[in-house]
Amino acid sequence: MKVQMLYSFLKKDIDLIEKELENAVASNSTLIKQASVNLLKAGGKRIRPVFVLLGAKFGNYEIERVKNVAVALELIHMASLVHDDVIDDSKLRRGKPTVQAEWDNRIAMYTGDYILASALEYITKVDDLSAHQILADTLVEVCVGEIEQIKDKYRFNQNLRCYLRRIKRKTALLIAVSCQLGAIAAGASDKIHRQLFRFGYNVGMSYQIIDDILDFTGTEKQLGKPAGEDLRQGNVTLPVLFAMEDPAIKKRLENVHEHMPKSELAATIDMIKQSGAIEKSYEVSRCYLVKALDSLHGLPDSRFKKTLEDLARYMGKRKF
Amino acid sequence: MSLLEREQQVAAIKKLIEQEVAHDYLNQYIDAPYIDEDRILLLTTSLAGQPYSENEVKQFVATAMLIQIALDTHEKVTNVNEKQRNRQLTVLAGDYFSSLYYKLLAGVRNVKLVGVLAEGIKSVNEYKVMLYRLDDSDAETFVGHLKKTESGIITKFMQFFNSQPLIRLSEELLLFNRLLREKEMAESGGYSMLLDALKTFTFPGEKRPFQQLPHDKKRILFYRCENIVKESFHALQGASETVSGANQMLLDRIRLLLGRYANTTRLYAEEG
Repeated sequence: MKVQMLYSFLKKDIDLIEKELENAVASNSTLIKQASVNLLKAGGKRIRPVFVLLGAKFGNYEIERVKNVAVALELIHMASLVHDDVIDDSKLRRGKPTVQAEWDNRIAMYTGDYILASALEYITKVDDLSAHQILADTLVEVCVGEIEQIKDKYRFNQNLRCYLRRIKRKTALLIAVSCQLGAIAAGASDKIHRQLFRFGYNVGMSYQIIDDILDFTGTEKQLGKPAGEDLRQGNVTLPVLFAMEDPAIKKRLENVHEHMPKSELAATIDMIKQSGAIEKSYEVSRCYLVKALDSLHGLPDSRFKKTLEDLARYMGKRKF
Repeated sequence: MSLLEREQQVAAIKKLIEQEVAHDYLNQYIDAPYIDEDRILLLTTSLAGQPYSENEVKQFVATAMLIQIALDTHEKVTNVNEKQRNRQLTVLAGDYFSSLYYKLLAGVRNVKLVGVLAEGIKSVNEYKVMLYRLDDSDAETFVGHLKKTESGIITKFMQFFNSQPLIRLSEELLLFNRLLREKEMAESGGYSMLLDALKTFTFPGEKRPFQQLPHDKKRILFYRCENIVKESFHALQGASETVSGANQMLLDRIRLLLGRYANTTRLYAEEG
């Protein structure tokens, strides 16, 4: 089943957001517009806007108001992707050439900055000050997290706490605030938006752990990048941390470097897969999933709550 | 506000910005961002006499400065094979400074200004693309766009705070400073966007970068560059003579800058 089926009842509003996203990147610069539209057309699950809309369903849902949050969050995500591709020197994203590959780093920087500014323009249409304070704090945290990620590359003596803090900043926070800001924009109570934040946070953690597992278990076709690429780039993820409990694997992992021959990397990946680290990582992901579902207890029963549960389960089981 | 008080205000804002952008790990790998005191002075001048507390003025000015610093930082991301970690951290540093601008303004509850400055960021990036791709067909348009990239954020800021009389002076001062930097870069053998653009406009078929051109071609281009700087000099001089609402510190700073340039060019002329 396609994930979109889970929230097909939101289609009209998601289509509206899609159109608004195009408006948001309709730059006077043909090039910025083209680069941004290419990225939009390359797809993406629009999971953040969906969480915004679902979060808003727990308040006084008005799409004209809520769409500004949904568009802003998707644009923030898009801008970070454009800049991430410069950081990682990535040539492909969602199977299409990245902005930096099609043009160059400088154009990618200008495009990413433009998209981020557009996101901020959209979010300022929301007049709730707490929403801005939450989002501003989140953006700072996300940036700090990305800097920490660079700092932690090839640092194989880091602990689980360090990893969890990193993925919180890298992924979970933006999903958490998507749920929360949707609710705030719709005037939901503090209790409700905080619960939705916790839900999004736990879903995000579960989602990122799966993403990190898939780097070892997915195929190049499924991932859109070679398997083990995160490891090659020195990202110490949960399966790596678990695998390092075996001193022999630890020793081998400490020799990972960017230019490691393919066959050597493949052998290391095999060792990690056989160590039981993948199963242990799935278990941690499942724990976050359970916590996410628990976070929804007490929220009024509705199809929207059910959709959040289904989405969480779907994201927890995804294969690529 | 006395001259001393104004100097102290500029210094305090500079310190605040330094504190905001300080990051142990970033500082190890990338140069500390350049904090342009002329910009701080222009921004604080535009808020003189307005009903804001000293703290609000500091935060507003620091915000506009952070945006400029973020944009300038991203300008340092190049296409050449530099050290990977430096490139990565330069990208992230710019993003980090941008996020601080939003945080500061959300902290002082001025969300409207976030939106207005975001419009400025969009526009500056559009002009940057034009400059970078050399979409312009002549030097005049190119310099006009260079002016927009230098003053786009400050202009938005001043429009927001109803300080329109200072906009022209700001545009001319920031352009003049930029042109001087471009000229100095070329003179010291570095890359100058301006000189490279002039090369394209003057010798359309020439593929070599400015630095690799023969002496006679370079001389022609330096001559054109000098004329552009001179024009900018006169424009700044004119703007400073007719501006209203500028304080003594700002006018003194401009006089000093203009005087220094006039002396240098006179020296060049005397030396032949």
